Amino acid sequence: MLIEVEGVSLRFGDGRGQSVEVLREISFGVDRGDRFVLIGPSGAGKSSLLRLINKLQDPSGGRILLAGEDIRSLNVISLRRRCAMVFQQPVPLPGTVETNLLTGPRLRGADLEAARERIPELLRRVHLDPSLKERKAEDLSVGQQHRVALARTLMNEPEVLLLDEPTAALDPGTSSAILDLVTELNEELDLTLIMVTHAFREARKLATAAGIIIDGRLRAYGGPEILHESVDPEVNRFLKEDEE
Amino acid sequence: MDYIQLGWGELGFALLFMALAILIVAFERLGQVRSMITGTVRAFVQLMAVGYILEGIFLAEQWWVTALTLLLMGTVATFTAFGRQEIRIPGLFPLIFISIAAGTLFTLLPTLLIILKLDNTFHPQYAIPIGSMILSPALNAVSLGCERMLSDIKLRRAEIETYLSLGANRKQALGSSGVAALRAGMISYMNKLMTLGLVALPGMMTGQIIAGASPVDAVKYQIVIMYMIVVSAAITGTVAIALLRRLVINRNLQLVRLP
Repeated sequence: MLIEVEGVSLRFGDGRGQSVEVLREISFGVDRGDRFVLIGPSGAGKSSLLRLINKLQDPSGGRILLAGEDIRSLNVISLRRRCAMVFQQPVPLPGTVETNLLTGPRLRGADLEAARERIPELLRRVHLDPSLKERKAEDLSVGQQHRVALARTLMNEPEVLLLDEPTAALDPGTSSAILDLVTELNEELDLTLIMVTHAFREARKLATAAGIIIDGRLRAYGGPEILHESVDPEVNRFLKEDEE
Repeated sequence: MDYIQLGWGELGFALLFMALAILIVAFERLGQVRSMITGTVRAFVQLMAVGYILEGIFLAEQWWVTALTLLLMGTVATFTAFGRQEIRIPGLFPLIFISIAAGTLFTLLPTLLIILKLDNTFHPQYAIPIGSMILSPALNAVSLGCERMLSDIKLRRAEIETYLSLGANRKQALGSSGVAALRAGMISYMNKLMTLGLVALPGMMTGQIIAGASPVDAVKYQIVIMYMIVVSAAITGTVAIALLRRLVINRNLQLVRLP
């Protein structure tokens, strides 16, 4: 297993002295090269789980292993380069598309000239015209900004891509193109994907493995078949809601 | 030094002018009467109290009395700067105190020991007035710097987390927030430095001239103080920003929740 999530819980204070349980005893594993989809209703704790894998937050209990090593013992900067996160809302960083793509190499003090040479090929890979590199990232459409965010993350050459609802707020055409793109990246670059979504159609299209989270609990976990039927009544209700 | 001493009568005459100004404003119904009266009374009571307390401290001429006075002033400055913060996170109060202490001591001690070459470092006649002049920019730098940086971080939360997820360290992730914060804390002092003597004669210099010092001597003092004011603001602001980076992004490089 490339990633193992073992009994992970997450609690935090609600600001009124009460503790809110976001995730409860979650356990699953992701193999190298998998396209693992975490699906569940809004507020189920899916995005929080991705943040825990990226170590943007620490779990209250349990542990997460990357290639057999507890991520607590790994250097956080190298972990984030190996397990890269693409957020739900793409954040265009100040400057041009090229500046955005050079962010990762610049942060780690890499050879910027060599990194610059990779930009046209990477932009083509995310289906953007290389001539866009001179454009200000904030001037692009949301769909293009998603692709820039993806390309910016790929500049760090990660092993795992953590995608938080990458198609939220996109029109069906752009959503489908983004899903095709991440599938392509998974197959051609042997990139392991962990994607969070609340849309079954997307999950069924993409998943080679899946988990269903409801109210902070992992109610089903296995192959893509779990996205079609379940013996768990609560999961079935969720599946039916989607069909309606 | 030779200077004209003021008696209660002269002070009363100045008060009469204040009363006249209040009457004119009241007659014109300009709405500032209440605050002018309050201000007049507060200024009188506060400054007279400070005058008598300082006289006691000067007469005592004990290093620990001076040190304790400076500590008290630093504590009041910390409470004032903390009180101005809208976003309060755990550890902010000690951060403000440490920053003010660092900026003040870094400038006050060399001024007293090396520039003024005092035998008694904590000579109240020098340590307290110069300390207070250095404390004021430290208070402003930390107050404006923290306020600007925390509100900027709150606004840039998504951007900062994007940098962190791309492998940034604290300084890289917070980047422009630190620059804006130091600028906010220092800008008024930099402006003062640029226009020194051109727009208005500084208070300390005019005070010394009235007290009988030669203008050139007074200017030399003023230059030293003005440089130390900027140094104090720069050191306090820099220390505050460096500490704030560690407070808002923990050792696992996670951005803490801001209220």
